[in-house]
Amino acid sequence: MVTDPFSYDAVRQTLERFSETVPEILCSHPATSKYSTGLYNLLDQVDSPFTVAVTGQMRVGKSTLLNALIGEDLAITGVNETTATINWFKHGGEELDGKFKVVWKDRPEEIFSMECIRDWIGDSEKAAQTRYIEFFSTSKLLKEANFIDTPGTRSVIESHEETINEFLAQRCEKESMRQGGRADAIIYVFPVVARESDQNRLDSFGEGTRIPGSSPFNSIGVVHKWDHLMADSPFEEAANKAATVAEAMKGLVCSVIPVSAPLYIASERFDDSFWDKVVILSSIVDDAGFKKLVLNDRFFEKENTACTLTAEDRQQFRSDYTLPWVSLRLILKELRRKGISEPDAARDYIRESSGILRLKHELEQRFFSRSRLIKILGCLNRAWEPCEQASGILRGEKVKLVSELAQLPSYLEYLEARITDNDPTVQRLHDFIREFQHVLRDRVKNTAGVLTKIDHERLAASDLRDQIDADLACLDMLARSDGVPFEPGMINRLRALFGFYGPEWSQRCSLFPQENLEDGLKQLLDDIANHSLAREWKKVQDHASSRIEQLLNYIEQIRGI
Amino acid sequence: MADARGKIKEIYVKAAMLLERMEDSERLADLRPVYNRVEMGIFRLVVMGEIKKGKSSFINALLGEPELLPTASDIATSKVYKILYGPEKKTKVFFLPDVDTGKREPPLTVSPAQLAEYGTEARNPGNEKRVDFIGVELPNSMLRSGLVIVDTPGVGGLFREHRDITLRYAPNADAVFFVVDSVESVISRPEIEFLKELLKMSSQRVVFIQSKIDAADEETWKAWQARNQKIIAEEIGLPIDRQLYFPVSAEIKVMADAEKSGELLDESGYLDLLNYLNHQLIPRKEKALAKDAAAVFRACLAEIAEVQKRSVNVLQQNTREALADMQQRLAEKKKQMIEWRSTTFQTEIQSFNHQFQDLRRNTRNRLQEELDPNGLLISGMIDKIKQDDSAPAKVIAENVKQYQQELLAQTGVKANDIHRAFVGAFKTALEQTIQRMGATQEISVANSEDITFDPSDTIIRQNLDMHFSGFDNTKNTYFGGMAGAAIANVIVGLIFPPAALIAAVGGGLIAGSLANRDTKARNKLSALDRLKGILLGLQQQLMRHSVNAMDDLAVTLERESSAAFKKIADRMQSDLEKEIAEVQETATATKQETAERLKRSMETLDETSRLIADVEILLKA
Repeated sequence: MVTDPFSYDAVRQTLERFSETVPEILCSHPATSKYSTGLYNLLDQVDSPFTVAVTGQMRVGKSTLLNALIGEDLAITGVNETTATINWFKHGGEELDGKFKVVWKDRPEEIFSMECIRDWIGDSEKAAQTRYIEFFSTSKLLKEANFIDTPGTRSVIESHEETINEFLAQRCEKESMRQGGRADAIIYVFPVVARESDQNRLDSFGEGTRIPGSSPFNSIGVVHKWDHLMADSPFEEAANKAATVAEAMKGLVCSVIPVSAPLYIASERFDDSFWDKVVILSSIVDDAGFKKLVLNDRFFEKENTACTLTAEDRQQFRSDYTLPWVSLRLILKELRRKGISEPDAARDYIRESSGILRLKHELEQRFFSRSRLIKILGCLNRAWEPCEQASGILRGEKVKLVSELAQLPSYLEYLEARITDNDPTVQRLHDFIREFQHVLRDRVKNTAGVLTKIDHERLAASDLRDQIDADLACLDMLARSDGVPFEPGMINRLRALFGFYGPEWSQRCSLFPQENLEDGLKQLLDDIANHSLAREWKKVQDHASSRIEQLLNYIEQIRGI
Repeated sequence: MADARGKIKEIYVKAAMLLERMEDSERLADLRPVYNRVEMGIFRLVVMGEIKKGKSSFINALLGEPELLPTASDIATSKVYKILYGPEKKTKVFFLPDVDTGKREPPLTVSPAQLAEYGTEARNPGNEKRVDFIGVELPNSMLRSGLVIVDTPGVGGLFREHRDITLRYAPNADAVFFVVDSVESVISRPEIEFLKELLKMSSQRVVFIQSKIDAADEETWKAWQARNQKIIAEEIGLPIDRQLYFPVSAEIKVMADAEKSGELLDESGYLDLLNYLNHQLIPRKEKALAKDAAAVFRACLAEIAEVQKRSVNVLQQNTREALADMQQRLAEKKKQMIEWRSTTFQTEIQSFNHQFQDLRRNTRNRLQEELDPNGLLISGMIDKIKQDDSAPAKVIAENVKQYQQELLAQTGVKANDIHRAFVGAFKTALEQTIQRMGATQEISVANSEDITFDPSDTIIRQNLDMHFSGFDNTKNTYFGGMAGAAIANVIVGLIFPPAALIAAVGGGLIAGSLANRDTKARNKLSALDRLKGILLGLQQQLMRHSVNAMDDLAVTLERESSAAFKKIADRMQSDLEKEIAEVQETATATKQETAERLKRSMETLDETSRLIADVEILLKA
């Protein structure tokens, strides 16, 4: 029986070997035994659901963004509240409605009802004792993946920084691994200007989950909290900021989208009356009157003769619809600038401009549809890295031992010339060194033996890994919104080829008619070879050719049987 | 109280008139620069904060010039802007001195459109055009009284060197305004760390500005203010009731200016801030400047009083015999003085110079010892890097960046301490020398009372006891005066901030050697060695820099002190010669003439005493 080299089972076999035999090999040498610990849970990991972490600096609106994506106010938000724990958002049945689960650091988990959640916010004692919290919803999004909300970086509350470091940094691997808790992908939330700390955080996430130099297929960036921007067109300005961040974070995130969760939530959840009033407010005739109205939240609720809504009406309006002042101001100014006076048009415009729809689309395109590939790659990478490190150490060790060994003959020679009958010490020293020479030889042999085995495993993993990495890199390029040099049909066939619909061989061939697979593949091979492409697309071309050849080989083999 | 500047002006004008009447242009020339310092009243307000917190918008709104500094583009301010008064709006680019020759290119006047070529990271990457800062002259009423506003590049962004540039301006600030906002976040850990570093370098108060309050609900920004103040209290140890904290909205201030609306000005938060600035912060500095000037004035006036006293003394001699006697004694005194100048005076100067050279050598040694690349400062850091051996190369590179920052900061502080101790020891030595020069054994308790200023009484007593001790009294007055006047002149403006220079060096190095993010060296040990090397090299360069700076300072101090000694002795001699001339004149004058001149001298003496009393009040306030 020929095994499908692309199949999930093949990957599982590799990972199985990594979690069973490789630790043994590593433990057989004192210098490398410490690298074995990270390898035991690889299989659990590859089977666990796809996990997306939402992360970024504190107060950048991560929880609000999650609520907008989930479509439900599950994550806690507010003026003074700050997420203090790692919060999981999982798909759950109705029996868990209105409840959350606390997994403590040092005692069994407990279920609480949602009213108690205030005890876990900010600089709280309970938060400090909590490993993580799980929230549940029947939201469609959570069927695709688990989401994690993390405390923000840069907080003065020291424990928050630790919590997130513990979670994302690779140092606390064992801890996170036992929870099955490392993210497969992240949504990184930037404020309007990126900081060095953002760069570092993304760097370390990438280092832990991807091959050095590979494309950042598992990181999407969003620019959030730009509602306050004062430019003539805040939406354009936000897009500019996103472009700047994307440029600065090149190689760390695969795309940067400006989004506004408050705008999306307003467009999704507020009733017609909200949009009726917003349109009235934004189309005040008197310019000076409008300026006063949007000066700040206090002036909004003051007497204003230019406005047809009374001050009481406006106060009522503000308390009826919970929306940050700055977002309301943005909606009013933007609708006025655009001259939109139809409530429905206003709602649609704001929903479209919020960027959340685009983010959802990107999540689908970049994460969910490729979640298997991303997961496999992450696991392979985690398997490969300790071997890589161990290999380096052993190589160094070998060189050291060999050079020590090389010195011994000259010592022996020196001593031999001085052996006399009346000084037994020299003789003893000579014998001792000779003995030591044997020991060293054994050590060199052992080291070289372990090294060979490790290198064998390492190369096996890296081979598979590099292939999948190339799949993801190519898919990433094909996901670009413009500048893709193929027609739509071909893009789809290539996507399938690179594992967009699943990594197994039949999934890769799924867009070709079953009866003449070979012809379809050969046709694609010709098509792609005949394209003259810009340099950056060459690797797509090369990888497609190599994948097609592998598939053809495999098909030939199974046909032969 | 608020008008220390007015008071000192009044005293200056009177003293100037007095000196003009006495035809003493030399002393007048001494007082003028001292007074000018008060008159100009330079107040350096340095605005710092993280990127995109609205520093530039804050300044624009403060000055009522919404278009002054660029605010829209990303990390708009990559360079330091200094805004000061000028008769017409002008923008000049100032350049850093050349690394080898130490010479600066002359500043370049540019149009607002050209500014981006020098002042933004995009057009001037890594400051390849070697811009030091950008000066903006502006005919703005707020700046007229000497306010200088410095806008610094935001810290915490992707450009680490901005932090060093910003910290350079800490030691010389009269006030630091630290800007946080109401939109992005409450004070963060990196901000607290920056503030701690800042407070190490600057003894001045930090005023907190919370910007953009128009962009948040009142409940939100007030909650953030409370949280920020709590963080400041807990992390920096500044209790809330002693914090200076102003929530403001530049947006509303601009509108308030346009509509000339007091209500909006109040709403913008700038009303409180302007009140604080104009009625407390700036007057406090004015008062301090006025006090410095007053000390110099007092010394000078004491000299004038002495001259007048002696003049009165001469004019009161009724008989020709008395005058002849006096002439003889003055001639004797002159002889004595000339001898003193060539003996005791020289010996003292020499001994001062020896003392100073020792001091200089010791300081040099101390700098070399304590900033030695193999010394204590660096060994701790090298140890820390060694502990990182197991970390991935990139982590090591990051950490080394951190250590480099620490090294810069620590070296800066250390060098600053040593320099300060050097200047302090110089001052003490100078004061002691002056005391020795002025003091004499003959001065008894009774004689020392002569120096009090009760005209009638003193004159009589001096008349009775006109010994040679008069010469010693004179010496005392002059050199006592010098302790105030000359030292003030020597020292002011020389307190040297080596930390600033060091930051300048370090900034360049970081950009040059470690900005390279691709240190993906697989071979960690060799990477580590290289990084260690960089650190050692940096340390070495800092030490050289610091020693050179000390040498420059020493040369200046030496020159200034010997010039001061000479000046004082010259003046003593010339005053004595004037006195001799007056005796001669009096001998040939008519009784009536003498009486009139006596009356005038007594009046001048009276006036001087009154002025001295005024100065005393100012000094005690």
